[in-house]
Amino acid sequence: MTRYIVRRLLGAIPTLFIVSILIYAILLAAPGGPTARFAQNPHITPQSLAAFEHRWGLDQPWYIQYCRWVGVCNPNGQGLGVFVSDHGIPNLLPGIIGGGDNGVLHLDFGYSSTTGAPVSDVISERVPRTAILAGCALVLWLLLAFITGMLAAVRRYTKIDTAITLFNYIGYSFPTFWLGLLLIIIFVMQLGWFPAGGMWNVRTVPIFGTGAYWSYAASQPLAALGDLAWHLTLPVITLVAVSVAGDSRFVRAAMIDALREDYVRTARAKGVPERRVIYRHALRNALLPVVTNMGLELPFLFTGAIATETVFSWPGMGRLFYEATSNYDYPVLMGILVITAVLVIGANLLADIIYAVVDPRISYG
Amino acid sequence: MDESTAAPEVRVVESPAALEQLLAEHPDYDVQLESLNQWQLAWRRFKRHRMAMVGSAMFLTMVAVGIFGPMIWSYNYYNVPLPDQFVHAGRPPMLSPFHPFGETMLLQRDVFTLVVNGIRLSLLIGVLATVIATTIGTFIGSVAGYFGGFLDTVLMRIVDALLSLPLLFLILVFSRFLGAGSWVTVTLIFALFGWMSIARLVRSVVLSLREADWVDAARAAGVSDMRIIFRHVLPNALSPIIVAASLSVAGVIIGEAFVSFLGYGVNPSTPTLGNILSGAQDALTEGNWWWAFFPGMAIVIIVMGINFMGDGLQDALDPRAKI
Repeated sequence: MTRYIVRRLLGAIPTLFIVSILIYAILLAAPGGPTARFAQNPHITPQSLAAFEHRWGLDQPWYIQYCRWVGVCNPNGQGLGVFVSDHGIPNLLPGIIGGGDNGVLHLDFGYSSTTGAPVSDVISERVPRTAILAGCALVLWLLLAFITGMLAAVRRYTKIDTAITLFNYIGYSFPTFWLGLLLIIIFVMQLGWFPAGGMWNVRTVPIFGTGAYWSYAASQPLAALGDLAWHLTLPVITLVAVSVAGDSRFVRAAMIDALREDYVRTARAKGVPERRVIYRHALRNALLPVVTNMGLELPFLFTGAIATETVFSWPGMGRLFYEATSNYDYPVLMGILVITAVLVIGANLLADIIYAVVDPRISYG
Repeated sequence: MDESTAAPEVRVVESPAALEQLLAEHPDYDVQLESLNQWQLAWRRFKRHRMAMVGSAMFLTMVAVGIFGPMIWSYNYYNVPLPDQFVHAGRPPMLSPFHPFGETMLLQRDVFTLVVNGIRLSLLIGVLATVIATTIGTFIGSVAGYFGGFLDTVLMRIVDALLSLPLLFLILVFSRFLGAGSWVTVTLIFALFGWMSIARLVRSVVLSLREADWVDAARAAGVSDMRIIFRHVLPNALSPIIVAASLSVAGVIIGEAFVSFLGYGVNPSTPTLGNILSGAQDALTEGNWWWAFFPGMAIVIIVMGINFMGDGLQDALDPRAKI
């Protein structure tokens, strides 16, 4: 077992390496680049441009730049010493024990080219906002997927099953951004029940995440929560409606497979009540593939909100990515891509390992 | 008329039960068996799949609208006539032969013209990108699965790496880099990032078939590797490839619509269902809902048709299924 886990962990390293190269290649291939903004400036002399390039290591060959970006190389090192940190141990080790402090491995993603703030700050400011949206959607959608999927499986080939299947097909076919537009047409423009976008009422509530917001939330918790819920409703409905369909079909398929098993027939033959057969015998076994599948979807929930966030101007990660794309803000783009890739690979690993641990039928060698 | 030269009446029945019923009514009929190949059997199963037939009808209708709509409809996409009456928000849909889907805000363009032209290009992009992606994916997947070893490891690591980045993010970034581009560029971007899941699928099928006796037999007979892959192994992987490709058309159409909606996809000089939506969100505040509604509805109908069809194909092409 331990050997299996270790092997899977080691197996993820080449994938991460290729991902980092891909992301870095995107940056290299991108038009513009860090010095593009000086091109039209008459006060920038070639000397100061050269000094700028030297300061940020742009005069180095691309593999040294990549190595520094990843955090394996120390920008202060010379020759083979680039691999050694200022404290004399390998640079890729964590900063606390004397390793380097530069590069992705040390959570240093550089500085946003639009605001100049560290990328890690820019991203971490957005994370809780997306987490709120995605978390609410996830809970609702899992609940709905299980209820509808199980209902359809247990009452297979009845009218309920057909209705749920049809609903799933329709949900599956809706482009997320267009569903958002439809909801805005109906609930904002026609009925006026909800705001068209944003995360807080800009006239009465301070910016989310700031100290002012928290003191406001502490003094008027109900108003703050109500305002948040009011802004959350439409984006959450959008996310849930388009996401529940796939999972509901998956739950249905897994449940039907489980209900076909011999042990279910045995249980029924013994006279176990139908409720108990469904919940104790079938559901528990159907749970395994379903949970694994959902684990794989989690990282994409984080980023998959991009359509919802842009339509509803929700100031989260997805919208940040969109804004960074618009502004050619490469450090932010790369930061988000790296974090997403790590999340996806991590979720894949975790799903595989959990599967192997939980299901005794799976042999791992 | 001489009875012996007249063609005999032929009835085709598709199931034993129907045959029995027919024989009960006409006991004097001769019975002949007709053998069907795999495709004929699949077509027969597909015909019986009600959802699949409805889906095909939806999809083919949209294809027909995309092909013939711009030819027949009275307005040309590239020719924007002055409206006879200026209304800032555009006029709503009306039951007249002029603007059945209403007009857009500001330019007061005929939404129906936009939709029929958009359907044409959106479908073209979806199908072309899928064809290219499926070709790349099939080639890489079969090479990786058949030869195995180091080549397989490297190729699959690249697939893993590409799949761990959200597709939409990559496409957004590349569309932005290459400029709000021609539809050819956008198609190529979607093809370039759409082959990975097909490659994985083909690899898994090839991997399971590579050890089959008939592959050994072909190899012993001196058949070249490429011929074994493309003539002997791949035809067996055709059904899952067809199903995956048909569903991928839907994915590309939605993806392209979103990227173009944001303004980074296809240049508005060539209409797709996405870029004609890109101004529609601002028009909502003016009460103009029809501009956003009709192009989106076209996407939904196309995608739903494809999804129904894909499901029917999956059932029809399953060799284990009964007739």
